[in-house]
Amino acid sequence: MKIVAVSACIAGLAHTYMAKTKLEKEASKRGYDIKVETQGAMGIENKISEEEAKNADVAIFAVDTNVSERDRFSGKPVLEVGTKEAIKNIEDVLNRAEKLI
Amino acid sequence: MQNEKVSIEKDNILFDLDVKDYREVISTLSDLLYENHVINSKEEFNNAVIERENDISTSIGNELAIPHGKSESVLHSSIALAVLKNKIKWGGEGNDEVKYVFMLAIEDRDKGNKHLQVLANLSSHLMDDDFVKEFKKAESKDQLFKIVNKIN
Repeated sequence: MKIVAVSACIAGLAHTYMAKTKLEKEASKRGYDIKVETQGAMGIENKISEEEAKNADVAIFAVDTNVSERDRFSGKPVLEVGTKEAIKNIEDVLNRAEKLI
Repeated sequence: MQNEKVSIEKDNILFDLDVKDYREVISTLSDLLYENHVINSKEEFNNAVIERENDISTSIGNELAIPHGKSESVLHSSIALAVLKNKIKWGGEGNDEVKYVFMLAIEDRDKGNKHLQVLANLSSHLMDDDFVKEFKKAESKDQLFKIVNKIN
């Protein structure tokens, strides 16, 4: 399974990077490919290209704010959660993403 | 002196802090940051952190909380760390109990500098169970300082 994800929080620093780490860990534990883009205080990092978005099976937004350039993901099944859900209940988040496919 | 390699200055660490609630932790750490010339207004910074906390609690499980404020009162982005003497209930977040408080002070105009990167790295490391296990073992301010600054 290929996952693309975006994490973003209000201050753009703490929760953004914690959610990214959690997503990457849990996805690799399950043997999935994942790329997590952060939209934070340092701007957009690890940016997901249109091509990568197109090839993904599912998109996960772990965000407390709006996703920039959301168009890239149009037509994809999207799971949107808050960053705290990703940090505290990552297993549940991945379970829900699996169900969207 | 500000060292880019150091994620938390020793002066910004409190060990065995005895407090009754999360507001007291935040105000004690705000006082400390003020004394250490990280912020130029205790009140403004304290309010920014509390406001953020009221928005969504920053308790992240595992006895950790990461209150933070982005404010004009911050002179240079920094982290303060308090290890509490006793666990306390953290804000409105159910029954989460917190013992380790990493408070981030973020410069308002700070964009993409090296110090921000250090704060982001620390946030990622807090998701690493081995790292968390190690600093929970610390029994003094010196030990904490060494452990939290090993990560860069």
